[in-house]
Amino acid sequence: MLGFLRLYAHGIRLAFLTRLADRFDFIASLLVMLGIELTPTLITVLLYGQGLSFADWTLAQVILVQGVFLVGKGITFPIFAGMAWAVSEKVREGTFELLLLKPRHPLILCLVTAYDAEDLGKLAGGLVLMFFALGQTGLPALPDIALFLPLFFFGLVFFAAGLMLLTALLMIWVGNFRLYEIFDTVTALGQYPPVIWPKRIRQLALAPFPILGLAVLPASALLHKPVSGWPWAACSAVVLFFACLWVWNGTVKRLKTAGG
Amino acid sequence: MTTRPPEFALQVEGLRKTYRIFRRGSTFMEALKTLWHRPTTPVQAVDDVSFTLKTGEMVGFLGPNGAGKSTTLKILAGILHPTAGKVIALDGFVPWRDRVHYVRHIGAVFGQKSQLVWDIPPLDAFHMNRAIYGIAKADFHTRLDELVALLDISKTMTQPTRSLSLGERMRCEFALSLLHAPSLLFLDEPTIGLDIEAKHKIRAFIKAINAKGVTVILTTHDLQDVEHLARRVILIDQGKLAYDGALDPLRNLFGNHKRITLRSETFPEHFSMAGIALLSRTGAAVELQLDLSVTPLHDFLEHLSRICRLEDLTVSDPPLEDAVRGLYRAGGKSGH
Repeated sequence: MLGFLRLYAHGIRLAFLTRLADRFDFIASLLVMLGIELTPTLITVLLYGQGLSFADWTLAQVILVQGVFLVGKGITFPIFAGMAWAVSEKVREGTFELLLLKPRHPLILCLVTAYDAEDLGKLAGGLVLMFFALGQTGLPALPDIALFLPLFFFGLVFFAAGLMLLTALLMIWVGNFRLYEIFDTVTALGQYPPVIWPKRIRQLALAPFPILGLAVLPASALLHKPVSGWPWAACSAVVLFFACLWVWNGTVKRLKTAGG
Repeated sequence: MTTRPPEFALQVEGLRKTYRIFRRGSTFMEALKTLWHRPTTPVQAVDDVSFTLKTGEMVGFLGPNGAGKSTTLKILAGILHPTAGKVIALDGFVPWRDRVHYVRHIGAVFGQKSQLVWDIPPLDAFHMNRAIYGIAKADFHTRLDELVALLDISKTMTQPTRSLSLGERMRCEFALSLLHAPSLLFLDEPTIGLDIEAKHKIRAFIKAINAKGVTVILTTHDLQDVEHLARRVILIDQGKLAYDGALDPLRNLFGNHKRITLRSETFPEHFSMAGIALLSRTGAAVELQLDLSVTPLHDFLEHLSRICRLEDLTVSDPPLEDAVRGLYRAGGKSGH
């Protein structure tokens, strides 16, 4: 594990060095990314400004959900979405096999060589939103934070599972970026309070597709709101993660047994 | 006490690889049909290939485009599973089964696929490889110093890869692939696109590392690479082994012919001479094939200088593809 972390640190260093080769593009990309990701928050502010609202949720509480969502994205996307793009490009160029010449598991090599520093704009934006919202709602108690941390972790696991599946599918349907749009649209529903969901679908958004676990459950913990159903969401995230890992491995094996 | 290297670096027996490729016509209707049915055709990329390679040997691995060379190399490098056959590499590795352990002992350089990172200097990629292979710091610096001296890359390795010339980049690719001290090296067209000077440097380096005991498999379309480096060649055509043996018999097999490319405004319209075949003619540019066993080169040149005014003339060996096809038509030969 220590060896992997050391290797991963090298990967992140290399990713930054690569992106800093063109500093203006890097900074501009960070800002554009942040601007795009803040659009739902801007719409939420406009809605509340017009007197509309999500039932039982104040503006600051919704912004907290969106902040948690963005922090989750800001942690998982540089690691896993970067991998999806890099792997798709490598498969298309025919250079994916170069990774297989290295003495590591292909997943580790993909993670290590594909950190996407641009997505850190999401993390920065998310942290700003979170602290701003907590300034309005009041700081959470320690037990709430203790519940928030594992719930947030399971949200990351679900994000990672989805992006790993996306990578595997991009290996098969090379360059089909519509898959990313589908993934992004579906997960984006996770940054709104659960009142947007009909009751039956809300169950599905806990398990087996824990979209509510991405931000609503962890933010609810910080807000001392009820987080019923979280064990189902957590289990689903873990099961999905291993299922997606299995698909990922199967896809790499398929590449190795396929063409010449 | 040092461990003796195995007698064979590679033992390949009955290697086969079949894969399926998607086919469709070019019309709109044919493209539309593939939405619900995608017809595929099996391709026999490698067909019953067997050979052995002794430790420390250097072999030229040749064949025309699509012959199955790359597929064979990928199987031998452990990145592709064969459909059938047996491969034992180095100390008993089965490349595709023992990939993670096996690739620690092999290196690969691809003339057309870079392992360097475009925007940053090669030195950063070297350090990344150190982390991936887990090379001890002291070993890394010793090997790097050695490679830097051999390849003369002390300045180039600190410049961004994108600013390097092709020759400089290839030398850095070699350094990257050899930092973990592999005992078996796969080279896939390492001199493609290089100028004479750069080719010379790369060839000298390959010779030097082979002299240190590294087994080398060299895939190339450049016969001069093979002539400079390998004493043995393996020819693959249509997935089959067409020739496996020493280079000299192969050269003699096709040494009776020369390709003549000339430029002359006064070259006769209807040229005829024993042992000469007209291959093409476009304006003043003429391409001929000369059978030296019928007409010696100096007789042909003497005759040529009498009948036309030459502006340019090149004498070369027939292309590799011709030699391979000639061998394949003959049913394949083995020098072993």
